[in-house]
Amino acid sequence: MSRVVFCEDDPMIRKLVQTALRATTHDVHMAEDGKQGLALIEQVRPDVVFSDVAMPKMDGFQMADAMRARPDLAHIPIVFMTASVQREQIDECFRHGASGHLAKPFTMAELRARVAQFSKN
Amino acid sequence: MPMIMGQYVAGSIHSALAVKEAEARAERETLVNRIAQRARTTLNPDEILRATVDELAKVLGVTRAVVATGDSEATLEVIYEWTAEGEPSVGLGPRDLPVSRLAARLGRTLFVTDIREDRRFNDPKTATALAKLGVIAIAATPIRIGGRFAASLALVHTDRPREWTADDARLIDSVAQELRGAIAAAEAFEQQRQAVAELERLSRAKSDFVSVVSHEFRTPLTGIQGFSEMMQSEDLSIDEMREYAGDINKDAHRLNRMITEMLDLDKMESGRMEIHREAVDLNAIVTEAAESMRPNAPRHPVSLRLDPLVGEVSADRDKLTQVMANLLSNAVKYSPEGGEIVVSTRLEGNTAHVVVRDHGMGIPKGALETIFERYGRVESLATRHIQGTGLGLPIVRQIVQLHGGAVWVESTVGEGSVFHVTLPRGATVRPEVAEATL
Repeated sequence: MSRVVFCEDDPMIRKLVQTALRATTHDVHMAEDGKQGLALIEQVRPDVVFSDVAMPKMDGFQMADAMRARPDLAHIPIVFMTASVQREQIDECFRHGASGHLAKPFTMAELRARVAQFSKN
Repeated sequence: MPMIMGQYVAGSIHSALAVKEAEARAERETLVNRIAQRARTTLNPDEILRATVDELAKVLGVTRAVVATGDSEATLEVIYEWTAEGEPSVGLGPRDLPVSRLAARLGRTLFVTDIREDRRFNDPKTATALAKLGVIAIAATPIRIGGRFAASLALVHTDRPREWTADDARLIDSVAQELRGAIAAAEAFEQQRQAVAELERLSRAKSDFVSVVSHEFRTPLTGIQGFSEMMQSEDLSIDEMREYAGDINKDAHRLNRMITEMLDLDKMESGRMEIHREAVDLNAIVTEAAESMRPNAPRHPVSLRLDPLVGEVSADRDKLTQVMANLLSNAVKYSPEGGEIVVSTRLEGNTAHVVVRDHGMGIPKGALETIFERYGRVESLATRHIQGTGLGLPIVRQIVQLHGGAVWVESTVGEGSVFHVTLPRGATVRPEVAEATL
């Protein structure tokens, strides 16, 4: 079981993720934008963060940069979920310290496998 | 003896003058030949124009030479200027050039010995304009291309009056002939350059669009794919099944709306979209659009200030609804929560005017026009989270134009934007409504 924070501005995708992971034992927390995400990360200290890039108020990259600037949060892995499969955009994710990338649309098996990959036993 | 001496001196002076005159004439002939030669061998029309005007000015000994182009004599714009050393410049751009203007209107070269004594140019306004330009003597010739006025060449003395000779006139005339070719080529060259720039812009916009669309389409597809996958592979109750089917349906609609928008715009831009006009209550359309948006934007107060005199317009009901929905949804998307949105209507003569004002992030000056172009959405860190295909405003403009109206925006970055739509009320306005407005 592990704690996971999801940052995603699209309500349908938030619902999808929540539903897909409810059968698992993970402790899942949802944020609508990067600002909310950062506050949630500070509060629950997750094992892994999954984040959209294009979000209001603070985007995924800004949120990642803010985490990297905080010694207590810098170690938490981030997986970016993007709708773009263009090489440059994926590279940009890794430049902002991503530990992984998940392309939209993703299958539920992919999503669960990625969450499991970063889970503590 | 003195007599002979006098004759001798006179003779010398005479022959010296003749030699000087012959030299001047030869120099002029060489000039014309050189200009014609250059026109045949140089490809760059700007270079031909510059070199030709410079040489002519030097041979004539004027202090300034100005080439101005324009569709008519009323819209002259200086495109090239040569000045003698120390001479003040007129500068490039639109200028009031009274002598060139008159020459263009008369269709022939005008010679002015001393402008201060010329009654054609002594009304106070013209005299002031010419004094500002420092003109004393001037020769101005119109250049026509393909039967229409295209440009004007003016040779100016700011230092002294000048009696223009028949030789001067011939020289100016033959150089103007050569310039015509250069100006026509420069115009064609400029048109070509603009066409290429426009194509480049469109091509860039198209690839931007592909990436925007591929991004926007994948978001609803994620929901459709994910929920259907769960329905397929998991044990779900009938209620859960129903719920997820509903979610899939919503995302499918979203996808369909995006595709419809793209196709509609295509239809409108290629003139294949028909509008079905009827008498439509504009205030009712605005009210409905605001009402249907409220549930999706609970944190954006929308207030309506509707002038009952606006009444009915002759319009396509669905299309007009789409215009209002797009403008309102933009106002919400680009405003912070709590930012008030005000929609007002008013009647101006026989035109209905709708104004949508938001207190959002505003639009940079350079984008006020391009946002109405296809794929012309403002992309920045502040806007990239905002969903949409970037076709909302191009669709608004197309619909409004199909109705014979106009749409534009005023904006201050950081303060908000004001979108204006005007619609002619058209022929189907009820008589009693029309009377009430008189």
